[in-house]
Amino acid sequence: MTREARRVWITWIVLLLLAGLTFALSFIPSDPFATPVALGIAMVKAVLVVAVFMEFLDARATPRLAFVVSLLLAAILTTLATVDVLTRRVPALPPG
Amino acid sequence: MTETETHLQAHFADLAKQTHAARFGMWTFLGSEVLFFGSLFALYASYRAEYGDAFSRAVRHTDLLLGSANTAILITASFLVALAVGELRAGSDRRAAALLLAGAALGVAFMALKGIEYAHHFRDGIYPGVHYRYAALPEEGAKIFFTLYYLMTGLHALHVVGGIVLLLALAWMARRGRFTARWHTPAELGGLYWHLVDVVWIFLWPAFYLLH
Repeated sequence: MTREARRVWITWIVLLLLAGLTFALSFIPSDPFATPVALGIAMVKAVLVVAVFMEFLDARATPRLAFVVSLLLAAILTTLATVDVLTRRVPALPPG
Repeated sequence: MTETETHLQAHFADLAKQTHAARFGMWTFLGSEVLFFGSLFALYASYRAEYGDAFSRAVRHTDLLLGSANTAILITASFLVALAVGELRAGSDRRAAALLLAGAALGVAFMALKGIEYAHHFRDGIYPGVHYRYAALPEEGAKIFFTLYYLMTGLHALHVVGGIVLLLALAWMARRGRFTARWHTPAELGGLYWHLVDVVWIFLWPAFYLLH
C-alpha cells in the first residue's frame, strides 16, 4: 500500500469514528455544549475531507486562494445574518 | 499519437499548465458551491436564532438512524473515490473503475434512504411551506424548519444525483482505458466535486438530525 493510500484509509477510519462520537453525544440530554461540540466535530471532519481526500494541501496557491476566499465569505454571511436576527429590537416608538 | 498530443488543447503550452487551469477552474466552481450552500446555512442559522425552541423540537422528528446511516454511506463513498484516484495514478484502471462504481452504488443507496425518509414525512403530513399539516408540531417555527429541511436536503440530493451520473461516466472511462497514470484530470475533478457533496452533508447532518 502506498503512503497516500494509507493516509486515505486512516482518514476514513477517523471520519467514521468522529461520526460515531457525534451520534453518541447526541443522546446526552440537554447538554449546553452539545451544539458547539457537534459543530466542532463537523468542522474537523470537513477539514479532513478537504485536506486529505481533496488533496487541498497539495494544491497550488491559486486554487487554494479561490476556495479559502469563498469559505471566508460564507462565514461572514452566516455570522452577520445571525447577528442581525439576534440583535433586532422592537422599535421604542410606535410607527407613524 | 503521443499521450500529450491526445489530451493537450491547442491553447495550452503543455499538459501541466492545462491541468493546473482545470484544477483552478474546478476549485473556483467549488467555491461558488460553498457560497450557494453557505447562504442556505446562513438562512438556517437566522431562523434557528429566531425559532430556537421550535427547531429543537422539530429535530427530534427527523429520522436520526437513517440520517446517520447516510452520513456513514457518504463518507465511505468519498473514501472509495479518493482511493480510485490513487489507483489511476498507479495505472490500475480496472481497480479504479470498480472503486468509482462502488462509490456510485453508495450514492444510489444514499438516495434510496433519503426517499424512504421523505416518504415517512409525507405520510405524517410533513410537507414544505403552506402544505405543512403535521399535527404533532403545529407551530410556525416547525413549519419553517421542515421547509428548510426539504430545501437544503433536496438541493443536496440533486447534487448527489449529479455526482452519481458523473461517477458512472468516470468508471466507464476508466474501464475503457481512457485514463493514464499521467492524465486522469476528469477523474480527479469529478472526485473533488463528490468530496464537496460529502462535506455539505457533514454539516446538514447535525443541523437537521442532531442539534436538539
